[in-house]
Order: sequence, then C-alpha cells, then structure tokens
Amino acid sequence: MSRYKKIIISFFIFFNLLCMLRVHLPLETKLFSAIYKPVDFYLSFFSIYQDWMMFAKNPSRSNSFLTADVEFVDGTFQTFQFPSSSSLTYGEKYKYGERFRKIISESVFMPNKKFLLKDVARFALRKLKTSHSNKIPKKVYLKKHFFLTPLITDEFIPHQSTKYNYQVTTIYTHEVI
Amino acid sequence: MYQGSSCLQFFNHFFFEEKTTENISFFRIFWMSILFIHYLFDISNIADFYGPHALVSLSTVKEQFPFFHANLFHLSNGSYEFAFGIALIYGISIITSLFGLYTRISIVTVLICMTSFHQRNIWLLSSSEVLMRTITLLLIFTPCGNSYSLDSVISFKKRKWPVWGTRLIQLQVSVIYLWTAWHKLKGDTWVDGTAVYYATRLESFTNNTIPYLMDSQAFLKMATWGTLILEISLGSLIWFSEFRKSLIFLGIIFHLGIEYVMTIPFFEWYMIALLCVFLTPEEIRGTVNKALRILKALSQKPFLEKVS
Repeated sequence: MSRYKKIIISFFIFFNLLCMLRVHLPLETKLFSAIYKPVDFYLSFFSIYQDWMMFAKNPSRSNSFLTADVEFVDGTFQTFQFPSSSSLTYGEKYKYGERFRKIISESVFMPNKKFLLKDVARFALRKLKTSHSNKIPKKVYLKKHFFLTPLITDEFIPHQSTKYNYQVTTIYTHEVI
Repeated sequence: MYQGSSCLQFFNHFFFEEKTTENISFFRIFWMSILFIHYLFDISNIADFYGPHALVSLSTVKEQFPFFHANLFHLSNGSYEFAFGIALIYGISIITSLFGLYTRISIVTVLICMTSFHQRNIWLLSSSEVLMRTITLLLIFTPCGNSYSLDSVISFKKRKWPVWGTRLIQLQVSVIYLWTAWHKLKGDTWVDGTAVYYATRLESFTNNTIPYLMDSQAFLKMATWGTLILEISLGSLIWFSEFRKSLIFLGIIFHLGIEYVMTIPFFEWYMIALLCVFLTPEEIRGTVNKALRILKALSQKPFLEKVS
C-alpha cells in the first residue's frame, strides 16, 4: 500500500473513531466544534448517532400502551387498541410489536413530540373505518394506559405477573368534524 | 498481543497488517442472513409504517427533517408503488450481498434502501436499527466479498488485505459494550443489583420465564452484576488472545439468555454476529472446512443411515 493511501485511510479511521465517540464526548470548544462539523453531517446523513443507553442509567419502570376511543356522530364509541407487546405472539412482537412500543412509549407520550399526535389519531381512525364505514366519526380521544412498577423494597412483583393495574388518562383529542 | 516500540508502529500494525479475508466474509454472510430475515418480517409493515397511509405521514417527517440526509422517500410523494419499489431493490441487494455478487455496490444499495426505510419513520426505531446502519456502513470498507462469494469465483480476488475495515467493526463492538456498561455504572439499580429485576418486569419486553430463578432475588443480583462484568470484559479483554474465545462463547450465551427471557427483536442476533468478527481467518477457515467435510461425509451415506 502506498504511503499516501495509508495517510488517507488513517484520516478516515480517525474520522470513524470520532463518529463512534461523538455523542459521548461533546466537548464544545471552538476547535472541537470545527472538528465535529463534518462528523455531525456524516452522522445526520445516515442517522447513526449512537448512545447505546439501553436499560441505562437505570431500566425504565414504566409500562404503558395506547388506545384511541372514536366517538361517532350517533353518540356511539369504538376503541382501537394500538398493538401492545404484552398481548402479541413472539412473531408479532418481532414483526411490529417492538416498533409500536417504541414510537408510543418513547415518542407519542413525550411532551416534546406532540406533533405526532394528529397523525396517530388519524391512523386509528383509518383502522376503524374498515369495520365501521357506515358511521361518521366526530372525535378521537387518545388514551394513555400507564403502570409504574413499584420499588422492589415496597412490593416484589413475580416474573410474568398479571398484576398490572393500569391508570388511564386522555392525552389528546382530535376533532374530526 | 500487540508489541511495538512506538504508538505509530502499533497503529501501523493494528490497522494495516495484511490478513486473509475469511472472517470478514463469513461475517458478511451471517450479517446479511439476519438482515434478510429482518427484511422478511418488515415487508408486511409497508402499509402501516412506510406507505401513504402510514402511522406517521410523510409530510410530518419532511417537516421534522428538512435537512439533507439519506432518505429516498424525500424524492417521492410516498406512494405504495415507490415504497414497494424500494423494498424490492432492498431485498435483491441483500441477497446479492449475501452471495457476494458485486458485493461492494450491493452493500451500498442495501445501506441506502435501509436508511431510507428507517428515516421514513425514525420514531419507530430502536438500538437494533442504529446497529444495522452503523455496521452495514462500516462493512462497505472491508474486503468482505473476497472470500466465500460469487465475486471470488467469477474473478480473481486478492487473498490478503489490510485489516483496517475489520478493525473498525471490532472497535465499534468494543465501544458498544464499554459505553453501555459505563452508562449503567452511573445508575443506582445496576450498582445495588436490582436492574435486571426492573428490566424483566417491563410487560412489553417479557418473553419466557425461567422457573424459580427469575423470582430469586439472589439470582437477579448475580445477573445484574454479571451483566456489568461481562459487558466490560467483552469491550476490553476480548482483544487479548488468552480471553478471546471464552469471552465470545460467554457473550453468545449471554445474548441467547436475554433473547430467551426478553423480546428485543433482532438486537441479540446482531450482537452474536458481531462477536464472530473477533474470530481469526484461520478459525473460520477451519470451521468451514470441518462443516464441509461433515456435509460431504453425510451426502455419501444412504439416507436411513444419515437419519439414524
């Protein structure tokens, strides 16, 4: 390998090492912000910011899922439950369960991602439309079902327990008409 | 393991030593096989996640990500034809990468299609998908099509190659284990030994149970601290030949254990594949030759004998 080729590859190696460490070394001095500029562009372009913080610092204690209650003009209601991993088979979890869990618990329920709520309500509406095409929808209520695992010192919950008492709150109301 | 009188010598030896390419080629096959299974699972989600009536509309995505990035969906109106078209190209390119046909261009195509699907609805994604993009991107820079590939059958491929591409993937694996352990050490539940208890009580992650053990506080504590010790070891000691094989074995058991008890789709399988990058070309060659000999021996015996 020629010397010049080696130098170019060495820069590329250094660049990749910076990409791996970027999230963990946010040293915002003038020099580093200049170095990080191309790194940030590269990471954003492929969306490869990596924090590797699964179950860190502490595993979450919150169990949650989402339902959408649709109110029709005739005064009746119908509920659409977004797929929740706890009621899915192993294959279904692999197929879409984890994806619904991720967007619902880590985005839809987050105050800084309220822009997703309208799309999510309309999605539920479309899903119910196939079985209730003769009814005119009026409102969609997105409801958060939430249960916090108690501290182990307060109560020990056996593995695969069914003792989850979910609380419900309405997080968004979508006016259809 | 690595001796050198100066940092430069060490760097030169570590990244530019020439080795045969069986290990990274084997990894290509392993990685692309998992990607293909993942793809087959995902293909039925096009209507819900990527089509014109998806959970998150394309207009919301465009509003939130107005900057230049790898997402072919930004060039379209998000129609079903477009989504299925990309899915078709994605599937074909995974297969050609798996068989090592036009390997580099195939992996580039895999990466572009994969990133497009991922960025079409980024809020759905977890660590598995970040890993998919990160490693597939690094794989482009390796000579992974030089062995066990159609490319190597069709045309002559250099037998030895500098290992820098493979080293980047190995370093990435170390970074994953070390950072995750570092962040966990900052949390009190990992230190007091209750983290595995809380993680396994998350209803949406539950898979199978292990009778008695999953309800034993002593076992849960051992599992918590064992996780930390193993993650730190996998990120550091795996570089030393004395520990490498046993750590790869323990790492595989560790990830299979998580897969049995919890559902974190595909992540554990991707990590198992990544541990195999630490096997040497000689070890891979030996294993493949052994497997071929067994297959050959089996194919020469009558059917009933094979079954018995």
